[in-house]
Amino acid sequence: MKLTSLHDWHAASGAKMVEFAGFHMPIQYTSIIEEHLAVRNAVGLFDVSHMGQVFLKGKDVMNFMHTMFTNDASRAKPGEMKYTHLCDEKGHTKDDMIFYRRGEEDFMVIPNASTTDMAVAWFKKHAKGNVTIDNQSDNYFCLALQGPKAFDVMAKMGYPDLKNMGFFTFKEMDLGTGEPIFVCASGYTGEKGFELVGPNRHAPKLWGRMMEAGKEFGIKPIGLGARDTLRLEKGFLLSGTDFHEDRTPLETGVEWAVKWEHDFIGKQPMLKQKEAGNYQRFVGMKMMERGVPRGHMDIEVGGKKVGMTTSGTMSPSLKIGVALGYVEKEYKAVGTAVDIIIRDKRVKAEVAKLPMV
Amino acid sequence: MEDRQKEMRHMIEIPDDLAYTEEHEWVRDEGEFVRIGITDFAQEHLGDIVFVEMEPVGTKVQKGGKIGVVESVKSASDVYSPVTGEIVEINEALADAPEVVNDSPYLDGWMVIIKADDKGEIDDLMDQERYKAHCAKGPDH
Repeated sequence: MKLTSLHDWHAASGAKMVEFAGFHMPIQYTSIIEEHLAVRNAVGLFDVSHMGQVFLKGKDVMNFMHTMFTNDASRAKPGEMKYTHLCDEKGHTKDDMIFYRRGEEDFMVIPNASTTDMAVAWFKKHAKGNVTIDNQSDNYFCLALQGPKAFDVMAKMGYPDLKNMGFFTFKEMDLGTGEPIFVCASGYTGEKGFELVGPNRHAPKLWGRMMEAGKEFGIKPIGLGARDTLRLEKGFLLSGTDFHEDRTPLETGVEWAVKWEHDFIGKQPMLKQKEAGNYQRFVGMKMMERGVPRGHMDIEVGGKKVGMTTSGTMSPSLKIGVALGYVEKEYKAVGTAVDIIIRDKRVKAEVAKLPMV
Repeated sequence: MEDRQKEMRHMIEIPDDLAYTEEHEWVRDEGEFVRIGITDFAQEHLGDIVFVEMEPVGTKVQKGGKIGVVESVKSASDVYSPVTGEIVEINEALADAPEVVNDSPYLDGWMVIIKADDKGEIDDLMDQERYKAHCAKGPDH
């Protein structure tokens, strides 16, 4: 099992550890609900070093980016990052990821942990001409500082100007690390904050400095459990859970990350699907009765199956059950009454506007 | 920071006056009836409990049969009856305050009271020492 460079800290803190995507990761330090609310109301720090980091560069890299990704890399200026899907020939999403434009012919991408090897193999299979693919995933950390007090923590550390960064932009700067690291105005919680990415050797010191600077703002370390509930309330997709090489970006509701001007793998079947229009839609759902929905539960209307959940939990913010999943398009409207079948029991729910919090 | 968090993870409590199942339920012999809940070890392993639902009063239950479900943020677990009999009372307070199971697994967090057909079945369960050894094997046993 792989360990992140903060593994000793997590173990010493008494965190509950689990295996996730081949890494020994903290699922919770004290309580998922406490950690969740700390991020919504104050600030939390996540070690997400299991995520991948792959560097793509070369004279032909723009053509390569176009072929690979639904989003258009030429629309990103240096210092900008974009969310994209990586699709197969059928238009099904293999993974969702973010690419970072560092220079004219110079990108980094961050795929999900469990899909990094697959993505790198796919990149290698399709790279043509002058494109280098450098997988640094095992050598790079990723820390996420998230919450309404995230800017205050960075200011306290001596970086007050970071609050002026535009959302989904990044800088490569020396954060007392002696060399530039990535400082990205982004996250997976729906809150303000930063994701920091750089060589592993800097992670323990940065983590310690952020925990120290965050003390007066109520900072907490946050495990993967709260990371999941935080993203679920916001309706952010989880690769391998909400899609698994079986859904197109149209079905998952992220057509905004598909640009039709360039040719990419999977575009033609996706265009056909768009034209036909009769595909299932990704929706959020709130329980109207007591009950905790989970993934793989049937969604019914009037006793007829109209879809299936992919994720669900008890929302720590709303204190009701919430779910994500797919329904036939006739039932996608916000407010549509549906039943979710929880352990053979029909429990009332309603299609909810995303984000739900 | 590290020290504070270590202190927060409390020692698992296993009272000496209860009987225990392999599935981490506890049973208290209260004379005519037996009271049932889940152990401190179980609630600690589950994490924040957000939903508890028991079969209704009057339900006839078999030893080892499902009598309800307890759900944490992450997962759902069935609760099994340690004895054969009939449910005579359920802890209604847990519907609105399931977190009481985390705070007080052996007292306020009790789940059901059952009228056992044969209280001799309790003797088949584990005592404090045996249950302690059972917990030492880890949460998946």
